[in-house]
Amino acid sequence: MSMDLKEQYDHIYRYCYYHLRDIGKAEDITQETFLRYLESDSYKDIGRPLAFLYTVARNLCIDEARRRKMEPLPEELPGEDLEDSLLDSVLLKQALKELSGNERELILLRYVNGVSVADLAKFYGKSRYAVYRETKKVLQKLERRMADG
Amino acid sequence: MDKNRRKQLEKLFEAPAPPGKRGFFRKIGLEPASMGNFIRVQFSYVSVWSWGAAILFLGIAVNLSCFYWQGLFSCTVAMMPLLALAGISESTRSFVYGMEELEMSSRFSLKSVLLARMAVVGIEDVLLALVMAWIVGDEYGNMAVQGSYMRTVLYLFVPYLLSVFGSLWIVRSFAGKEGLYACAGLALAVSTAAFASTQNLWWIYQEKYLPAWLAVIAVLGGLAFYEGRKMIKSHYLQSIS
Repeated sequence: MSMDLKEQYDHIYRYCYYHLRDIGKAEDITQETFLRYLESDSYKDIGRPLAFLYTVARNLCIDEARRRKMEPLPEELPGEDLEDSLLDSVLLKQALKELSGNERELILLRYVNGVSVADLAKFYGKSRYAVYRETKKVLQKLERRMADG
Repeated sequence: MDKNRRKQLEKLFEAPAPPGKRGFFRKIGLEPASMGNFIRVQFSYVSVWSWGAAILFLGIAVNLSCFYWQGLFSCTVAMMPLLALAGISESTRSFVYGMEELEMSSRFSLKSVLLARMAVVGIEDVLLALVMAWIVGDEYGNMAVQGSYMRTVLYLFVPYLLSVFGSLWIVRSFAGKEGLYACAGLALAVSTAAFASTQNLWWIYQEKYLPAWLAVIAVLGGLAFYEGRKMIKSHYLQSIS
């Protein structure tokens, strides 16, 4: 196993929870994702485990969202009800809310879950340079929004 | 992105704890073993020659204490870098011989395996050093210095930590067996320097220089820790990329 499963379980779960806002469903999908990964006998999938896990998790989240007839990418953030003591944190939350769902997802994957640019490129089906450029753009946007706020 | 911003983001994207995680891993037979068990298992993977080296060093120290106590302190100080070399070569074995992939195929992450092995070898070395310091005692041979047990421990750990730090840096910078040869060279150089210091620079072991020794050990300890962390990190990132 080429990664720390325990650690990745938390990351995938956080990703699913971000999309679904439902602890039970997020965990069901996380476990299903891992079962599919463990059952996979394709070297291609095993070779890039993170991209594979996130792809399965995303598809399962979309299926679940369709079943519930809801938008797969909600606008609010999971930690929205948390009380903030720092102004900076409030500004960051506000700036994040102004980003699009896809941009927020990119921030979550790259900076919160620590997914590498190579894995993100595989996950999004883009070149590494495109992902790098996009990440940089989103970060600049975030900083700008914070400065304006 | 700076650490503070990352922490803020983690807080904003925080999800409630997953209640079924442990049950899931148990069900699929991948429940992580307890830390104690895991370290116990790693003991059996430390090669025989590493334990043999430790026993040999201990034997030499005991022998010197019986037959040549005047040279006991100098020789023990000189043995510490060699002890460090034995430990480093053992805990970085997978890195030197390019065996990461094999270890990665086990049920534990490479990071945990490396940490556990370093812990096993590190604990072994520290215990051995404490015993050797007890054998040396507070008499430093022909040096006109009256020591104490704690000071002996301090003097033994300085060359040891210097070798650990240098060897970790070398192993991280030069891949393959060449790195190990360079480590051996470094250990011999530090060993010789440590021995020579007890002969020609014996005054540095006087009590008035104790603060300087403490400062050196703090710096070397910090550097060794930093280098070890960096090595595990780079080792881990290399193997998953």
